[in-house]
Amino acid sequence: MSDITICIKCNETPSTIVNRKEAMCDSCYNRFARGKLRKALSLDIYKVNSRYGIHRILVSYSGSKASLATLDMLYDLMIEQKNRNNGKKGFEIVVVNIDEFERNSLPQSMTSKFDELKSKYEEVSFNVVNINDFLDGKKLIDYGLDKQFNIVIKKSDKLTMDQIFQSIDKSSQEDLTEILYDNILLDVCKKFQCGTIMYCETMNKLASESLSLIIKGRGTKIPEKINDTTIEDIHIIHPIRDLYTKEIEYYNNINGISDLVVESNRVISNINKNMSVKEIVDRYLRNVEQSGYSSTIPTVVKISEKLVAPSKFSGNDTSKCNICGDTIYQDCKTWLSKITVNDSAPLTEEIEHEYLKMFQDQEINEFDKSTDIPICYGCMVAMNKPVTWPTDEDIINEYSLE
Amino acid sequence: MPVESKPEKKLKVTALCELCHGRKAVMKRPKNLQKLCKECFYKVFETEIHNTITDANLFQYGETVAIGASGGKDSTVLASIMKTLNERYNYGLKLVLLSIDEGIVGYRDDSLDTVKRNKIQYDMPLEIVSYKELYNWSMDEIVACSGMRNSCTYCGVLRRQALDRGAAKLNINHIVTGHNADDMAETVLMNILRGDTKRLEKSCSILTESADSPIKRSKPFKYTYQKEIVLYAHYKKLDYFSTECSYAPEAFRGTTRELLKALEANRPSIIMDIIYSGEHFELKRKKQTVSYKNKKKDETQINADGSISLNKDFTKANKCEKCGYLSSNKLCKACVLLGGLEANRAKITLDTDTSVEGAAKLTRTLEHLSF
Ligand code: SF4
Ligand SMILES: [Zn+2]
Ligand SMILES: [Zn+2]
Ligand SMILES: [Zn+2]
Repeated sequence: MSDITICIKCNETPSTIVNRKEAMCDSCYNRFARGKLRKALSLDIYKVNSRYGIHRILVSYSGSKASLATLDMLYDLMIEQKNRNNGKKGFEIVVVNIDEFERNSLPQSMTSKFDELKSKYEEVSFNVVNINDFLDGKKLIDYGLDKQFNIVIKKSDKLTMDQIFQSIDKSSQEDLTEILYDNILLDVCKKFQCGTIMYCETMNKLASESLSLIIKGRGTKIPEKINDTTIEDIHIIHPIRDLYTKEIEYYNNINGISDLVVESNRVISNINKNMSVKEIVDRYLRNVEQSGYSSTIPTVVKISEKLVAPSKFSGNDTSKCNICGDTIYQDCKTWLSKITVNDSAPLTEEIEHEYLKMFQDQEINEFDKSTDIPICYGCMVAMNKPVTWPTDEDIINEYSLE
Repeated sequence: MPVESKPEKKLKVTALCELCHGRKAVMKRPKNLQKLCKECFYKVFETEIHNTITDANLFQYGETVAIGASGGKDSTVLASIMKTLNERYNYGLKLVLLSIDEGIVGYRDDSLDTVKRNKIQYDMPLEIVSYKELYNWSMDEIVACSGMRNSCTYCGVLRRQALDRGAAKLNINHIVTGHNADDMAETVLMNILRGDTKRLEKSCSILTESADSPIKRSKPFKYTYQKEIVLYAHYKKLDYFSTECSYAPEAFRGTTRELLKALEANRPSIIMDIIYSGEHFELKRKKQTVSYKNKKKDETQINADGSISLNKDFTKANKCEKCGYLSSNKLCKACVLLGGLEANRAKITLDTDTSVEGAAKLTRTLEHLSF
């Protein structure tokens, strides 16, 4: 190595890292990384003295490296606002953690880290939400699919998240957890009177999210899940979408906050059958990156950002899925029954008819009702085993399940 | 093993086909892991393809349709099923086998023998178009000249035009190909992974018509799983050629294929699920800007699928200057590619003692050994 390189940003300090082909010092690196988050907060609502008052931002905080870095960057912006405006700030930070201690085998519960976090990030409110509390008092329905792809339902005897997830496969668990979390956050956001939900997903995460949605038959959800959007007047943003996971790790290191990370130490299987869709996609993305296709991740995110709601079904009646809330553009039952036929070939022998009779005598049907509740394709896929889901009182009345 | 047959044992309900409940299940259906008897498998397999065909309105009564036949399992099953459905549902189609001889020793010459047997088995006329005759280049020569890396790129462009010419010669304007659901899903993923905005929305179209081809192509197997095609061929004892072309597919496509395999092992429905997603893709429309800053006026873009983006008046001179084939450019894509090769050819033929085929075969053998 020759002599020390000077940071190309400030032209003063020796550089400590070469990132995206640019040699930078730590303080310029911080400015680069935080700049990405600040860009996402350029709306007036986040500014001091805006006519909207002090905006409340909900940070969806999992304890991961990315969520910690996001919090740190956001906090840094808030402190700067205060310093520049005689102690006034444009927004408040509400950290919400959905308790995954047991389900995700975290090494320690989030609450145990809260004291440390609270002393570092003063004025931030830290909250834990328990999933079972969210389910508590809600009616749970078991949804199933019959052979003709009709939705069948019955009242569920399950009560907790663990019971709900007992009977479905890993990919469905992962899929439905995400939907449930989104619902919970939206719910909590309203309760806490926040106007923004901040998801802490890096570019790597968004690429994997987008691919997974496509693979799960939820391609139509991409515009809303990958892009920043507004749902029921709440801003949904992904402020670190332009940063790679490794850039986030470096950020945490140079700011000495890596110890505050709480991430699952669960060992991920390498056997396809025991993995979830997302785990397979993540492994794939890691591999292509290592094999030199380094542009794959930004490419996937970029093209996903360009996807919009399809207009070619504009003649159809659209409806909203009762489980995930996604728009249904075409009748999934029709689509499925066209390409997966479930008619049998005629029986010819006497013995065959006897067998059929034998089968019919033994057949039990655990579902009592076939309905036309709208369920989207992605949710039908997740229902390869019956799925239990919290449901509006209305539905229960409408289909009188009592 | 004793040969005498035992008195028939009564089957348990769980051993029965999950559709008819009257016959013994002999297979697990790859698409949804349903346990089926052979009869019910044939029934659903064939009906689904019929549904795909009628739903997309693929054929007109009385139409002559060429089946792109390679002798491989996909196209052999396609020929068989087209014959079956045409007769069963009275499509009124005249079916013709159309084969391409790429000139790949040890692969295509053998598979063409299969097609020739298929011609007799299915009682269909057969037309073979060869690269060597058409372009004066065989694939073996091309690989000897430019290496394995881009073999499928060359081959794809040449095949496209060769099929068109073969069909045109027979006065046919519709070719059906054996592309299956796995291929579809793979294409969807590839287009996303490569950020191919030009092709993304069309990833799943069952019927393609492109600007510089008068021939339409369709894919009756769009929703048919590769594994089920293999099973169908196996149970029906169809005569197909199972060796794969020895020129390796492009590396990146290879990784996508592996991803798809891993996913399918995890959840069999994902092939359909990806296609479902793909059918809904729509990209933000760019605002129409009339700026030709970086484009020469007459430049036309060749899309990777071989179709042409029209930036100019298509009505004038749309013939390749060199070969006279339909082209919206001065030269058609095949001539552009081959033009680049011509320069090297002299060198190669001087440099080697062995025949060109031999040289290509040797390269292949060597590359295979290195794995
Ligand atoms: S694998 Fe490639 S080279 Fe071989 S026949 Fe197919 S396209 Fe041609
Ligand atoms: Zn849904
Ligand atoms: Zn059966
Ligand atoms: Zn030409």
